[in-house]
Order: sequence, then structure tokens, then C-alpha cells
Amino acid sequence: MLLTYNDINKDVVETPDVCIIGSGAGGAVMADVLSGAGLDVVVMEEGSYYTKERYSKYKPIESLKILYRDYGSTVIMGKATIILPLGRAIGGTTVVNSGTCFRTPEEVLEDWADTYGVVKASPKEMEPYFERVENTISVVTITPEGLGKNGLIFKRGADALGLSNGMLRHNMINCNGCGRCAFGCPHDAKQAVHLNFIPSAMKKGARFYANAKAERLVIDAGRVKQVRGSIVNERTGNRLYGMTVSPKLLVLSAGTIYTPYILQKNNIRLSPELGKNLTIHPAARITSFFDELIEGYKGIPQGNFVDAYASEGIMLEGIFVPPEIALPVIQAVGIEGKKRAHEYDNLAAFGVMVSDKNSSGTVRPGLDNSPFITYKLHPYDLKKLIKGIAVASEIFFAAGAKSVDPGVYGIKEFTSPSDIAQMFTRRLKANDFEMMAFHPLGTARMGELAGHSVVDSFGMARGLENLFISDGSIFPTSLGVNPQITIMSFSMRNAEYIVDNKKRFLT
Amino acid sequence: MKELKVFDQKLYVIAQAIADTIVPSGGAFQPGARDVDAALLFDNYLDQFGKLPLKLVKSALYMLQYVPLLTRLRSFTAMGPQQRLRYLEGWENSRFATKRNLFLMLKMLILMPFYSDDAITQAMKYRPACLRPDDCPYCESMGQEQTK
Ligand SMILES: Cc1cc2nc3c(=O)[nH]c(=O)nc-3n(C[C@H](O)[C@H](O)[C@H](O)COP(=O)(O)OP(=O)(O)OC[C@H]3O[C@@H](n4cnc5c(N)ncnc54)[C@H](O)[C@@H]3O)c2cc1C
Ligand code: SF4
Repeated sequence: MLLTYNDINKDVVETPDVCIIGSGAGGAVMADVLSGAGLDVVVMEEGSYYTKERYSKYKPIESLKILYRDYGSTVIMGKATIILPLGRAIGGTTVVNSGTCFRTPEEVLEDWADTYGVVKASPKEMEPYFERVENTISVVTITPEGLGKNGLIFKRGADALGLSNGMLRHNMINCNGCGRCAFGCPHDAKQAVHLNFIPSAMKKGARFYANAKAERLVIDAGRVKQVRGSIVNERTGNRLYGMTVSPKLLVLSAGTIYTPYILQKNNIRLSPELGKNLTIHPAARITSFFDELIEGYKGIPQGNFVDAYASEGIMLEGIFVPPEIALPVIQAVGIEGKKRAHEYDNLAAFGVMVSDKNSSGTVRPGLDNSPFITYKLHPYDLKKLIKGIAVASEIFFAAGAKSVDPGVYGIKEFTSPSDIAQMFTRRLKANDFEMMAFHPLGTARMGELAGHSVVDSFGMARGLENLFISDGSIFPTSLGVNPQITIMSFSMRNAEYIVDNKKRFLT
Repeated sequence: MKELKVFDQKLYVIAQAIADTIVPSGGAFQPGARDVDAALLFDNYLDQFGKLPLKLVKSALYMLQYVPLLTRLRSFTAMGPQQRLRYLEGWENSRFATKRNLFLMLKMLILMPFYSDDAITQAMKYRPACLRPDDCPYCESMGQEQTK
């Protein structure tokens, strides 16, 4: 059953076995496994429920308003201002993500075991979960025909330079290559969790409430007794009715930013590490103009990658957005700005993201009833970003670019490969870059070292008997690759752990 | 006829002058901010903005308008077109990141609805289309052509 604010006309009261806050990568999988084990599950999701028919009606800038929080421009403060888009819908950020699927790298899992004492999460132990998740969300390898010219051009450049590259794996069936993945797939080709795990959980009896915002956690004798919240209007966010859920077990899956925020707002500290250790995979977009016609909006926006420097923590992945998102950041105004904008069909773009093992950030309650997020980019990680941008620029020139805009303050464009040296000769600072981030992780990290972790190896909160956390916040370090498969697979594993220990957690 | 939702008349006039400088009429494609009332589109786009970010947007507009009183002895709206252009380029290329970011925020919020407007996409001959020429509900519902 799925209810939205439209279906509700009085206060809601629920007493399920399990209440899950958040219906994204973590929450959806948790709901499916727990309801499959016969547990009575209620999911509260602040965002709305959208179907492909509804996405199709919206232009990308409308989608930013309705499918994202803060118009897709949640801000991270620090030396550099970084934009962190966060999804808000039934299906969470999976509804707006690019669909790229990577398993957790083996060395990352090994590091978590060695450094943080995470148990039962070796590559071998995680393998069956990766497989089940990938089967459920239909992960396939993209074929070059799906790429569109934007991806093909980058491949051509990487091949010319002899740089290792390949096609990404995506969760999709029958993709039309319409380039809209980040605005809700109008074909239901991208297999976000509202198309698989959520309907499956509903069939097993789970009740999903859209427009249901969890606000207060009532604690009594070391246990979460109640979740109080509001049914809110989809457009205004105004409270319409109250919602009270009294579960035996609470799972927080509100994402890396909102999970610690909800706990902090309720003065539930769990550990001094709560809200700290935020990693984000800082990312930059490099654009380039060509003489040839590209029409980059045709094709899968993130279809291929260059992993030649992955061992250094630098990944290059495709990215392409419609004109209303791409053109405003072109560095020019007036008639010159219009001239550049008019060359949109000749524009190519690619993304660089770096593994931020040395940097970290913090989430804490801020003004305006929203979290205040800060982040400090370590010079070592900044160097990786600089190198990544330089490599992407070289690839564009190798593919025949006329000019490359590295998105760096003070450098309007490179017009030949020799200009790229400026990336290393100038003393570039973090705030010289137009940075974005798409993969927040780590604010409630797991592990077996009590003082160092917020939850144990299976997501059980330290200090509260009936609280689990299952979303991107539990990962102790940055992954170096896109995280949705990791989040879903750990959520599946942790849900099974709850089921296996039902007596302990659900009496 | 759409109405102002978040700006008063004074802010609307400032927004109009800024939008008109960022995307004037003429050049590579004819219509500019004034032709599609980009200031109104900008205002309407902000209708669901949070209180704090909205305050920031309004403050940024006032700053752009009145800071030149100190340096150029006239407000932004009192400047001529060339002076306005040079002034905004100064913000865009400022060595102070905060100044650059404030301008980028305004520029994005003005240009996103501008480049979304049907009159502009038509003038730019931009037609989003997918790779597969068979039936495409998205292209149909958006009134867009499919590529064969
Ligand atoms: C544009 C973009 C592209 C991306 N591309 C990829 C990609 O290609 N591959 C990949 O692996 N990853 C990608 N990601 C990241 C990936 O989608 C996320 O890491 C993942 O979805 C996070 O899962 P989660 O469960 O932690 O949180 P989410 O999926 O964000 O779910 C959290 C949910 O909790 C809800 N919530 C929060 N607070 C409350 C509350 N108080 N009450 C009720 N509900 C609440 C939110 O509304 C949200 O729906 C991308 C992200 C973005 C923004
Ligand atoms: S490119 Fe494919 S997966 Fe992305 S929105 Fe279009 S049809 Fe969906």
C-alpha cells in the first residue's frame, strides 16, 4: 500500500513491528527484506510519489523543484562552496541518480575490516548480496550505441591517448537514450528502487507513506518508543495532519545528511562521531567545444568511464545536462554569453570525481530548520581533482576539441593542450573550482571500535537498543566509486541480520 | 498573465536590469530577457524557495544594485548598458570567491527559467530528443520531435 497526502484526511496512527524513515537506496531494500520475513513494516517518506507519467510533464527545472531538496542545490560550506544535490521522493535519490552501478571495491572492504574492525563484510561475504541486488535492479553493461556522441567523443580521446576506459554498468531496461536520468526517467528504463524493491515490499504488506516527514523521536528507557511527524502538502510542505508511529524497531534511512540531523535535532548523540567524517567524492564538470555536431543530450548522460587513474583515486565519468542546467554556468555574460550558449549542440562534457580519503566534513543542525554542512578539502585531494581535470582536458583535445573550459576561476578556457600546464603552475585553491558532490557518506560510520563508530558492523546504533541505521551514512570511508550498489547490498545484509535476530530486536 | 510571487516592484526592476544585461536581445539568437520577461520567470521560479535562501537572493539583488553607489556613484539601474555589462563581468570574474558565488547564484536562477522558456528553446533551435526513434512518451508529451 502506498498513501500520499491526497489519500489522507485525518491524523495517522501506526503500531508496526518496524518503522523505516526514508525510502531511498537503503530504506527500500530494508523494507523489502523485512516485510518478506513476515514483519509488519511502515515507511515514512518526506518526498512525494511520482510516476513516469508525471516526470514526463515536467521540464528539468521543474524536476529540480519537486524531486530534489532545496531545488537540487543543497550547499556545503567551507573554503569552497560545494553544491550537493539530494533526492527527495518515494525511491529517494535513486529516482534522480545517473544509474551507474559499481560493487564496493575489494580494497575498500578490506580496509574497513582492518582499520574499523567491520566484521562479516569481506568481498566473499558481500558477493551474494551484490548479486541479488544487481539482479533485482536489472544491472547491465551499456553498449556503445547507447552512449550518444558525447560519450563516444570522450572514448575516442581516451583511446587516442591509450588511457584505460570502458562502458559503465547501469540498472536499466530498454533505455531510450533521452538524457534525462537526473530528472526522473520518463520511460521507467532506469530501475530506481520505486520500480522494484518498493513494489515488492508493498506486495508483502509494507505500507509506504509519501509526504510523511519524521520529526520527533521519543526515547524511553534506552529505546525509541515513538516517531512523531507530519503529513505535509506536496507543494508547500505545510503540515496537514499528524503522524504517530510506535514501532518495536526503528530503522533510520534518511540519507547521510538527514540521518544524523534527525538524531541531533532530537538530542540523541549515540557517539561523538555522529555527524562527523562526511565524505562526498568532490566532483567537477569539464566542458569543451567542438566543430562537429555533438547533440550531447541524445544518449545516456553517464555511459562510460576512464579509470586510468583509479588507483590514485581519480575517476572520470560521463555527465551531460540539458541547456537550462548547462548554459547558466558558462563563464560569459551579454552577447558573448549568448554566442557561447548558441553553440550548445557542439558542446561536450565529462565529469571528474575524486576519492576523498583525506578530507572530511560535518553535519550539524543549522538555522532555518535544515542541516548546516561543512567540509574541508585536503590539499592532497585537491591535487587529485587538479590532475583529473587536466587529464579530462587532454582527452578532449586528443578527441579534436577547439577549446576546453576546465571550470576553474581565472582560466577562461584552454585553446591548446599546452595551456593545460596552467593547472599545475598556478597556485589553485579549493575555492577556485566549481565543485559539486553527489555521494555523501560516513556521518554515522560503522565499526566495532565503540568510541570510533556510531553503529556496529550491522548498523545497530550504539546506546539505543532498537535503532538501526541503514543508508549511506554508515560507510567509514569514501568508496572511490558510485555508492548505490554498496548502500543497497549492505542494507540487504543488515536487514537479514535483523531477521536472523528477530527475537532480540523485535520483542 | 503571470503575476509576481516573491519580489516587490522595486526588486523586479533590479532583477529585470540584471537579466537584461546577462542576456540582452540580439546576438546569436534574437530574444533576450526582456522579450520573455525573464525577471518574472525568475520571480515565479522562486515560489517554493525556503525563507533563508530567498533572503539571500533578495540581499544579493540589493547588493548588485547599491554597491556601485560607493564605487561609481550611481546604482546599477542608473548605469548605461555598457557600464552594466562591465560591472557584472567584474562580479563574475572577481578575485573574491563570495562575490563570484553570489553572482553565479543569481545568474543561474535567472538563466535556468530563461533557457527553459519555449520561446528561447525555439529561437535556439534546441529540440531535446532521444536516441530511439520508436514511440517516446516523453518526447510526445513535451511536444518535442523525435530524431529518425
Ligand atoms: C544527481 C545524482 C546522481 C547520482 N548518480 C549515481 C549513480 O549513477 N550511481 C550511484 O551509485 N549513485 C549515484 N548517486 C548517489 C546515490 O543515488 C545515493 O548515494 C543513494 O541513493 C543514497 O541512498 P540513501 O538511502 O543513503 O539516501 P537516499 O536515497 O537519498 O534516501 C533518503 C530518503 O530519506 C528521505 N528523508 C529524509 N529525511 C526524512 C524525514 N525527516 N522524514 C521522512 N523521510 C525523510 C529523503 O526524502 C529521501 O527520499 C547520485 C546522486 C545524485 C544526487
Ligand atoms: S537516458 Fe535512458 S535511463 Fe536515462 S532517463 Fe533516458 S531512457 Fe531513462
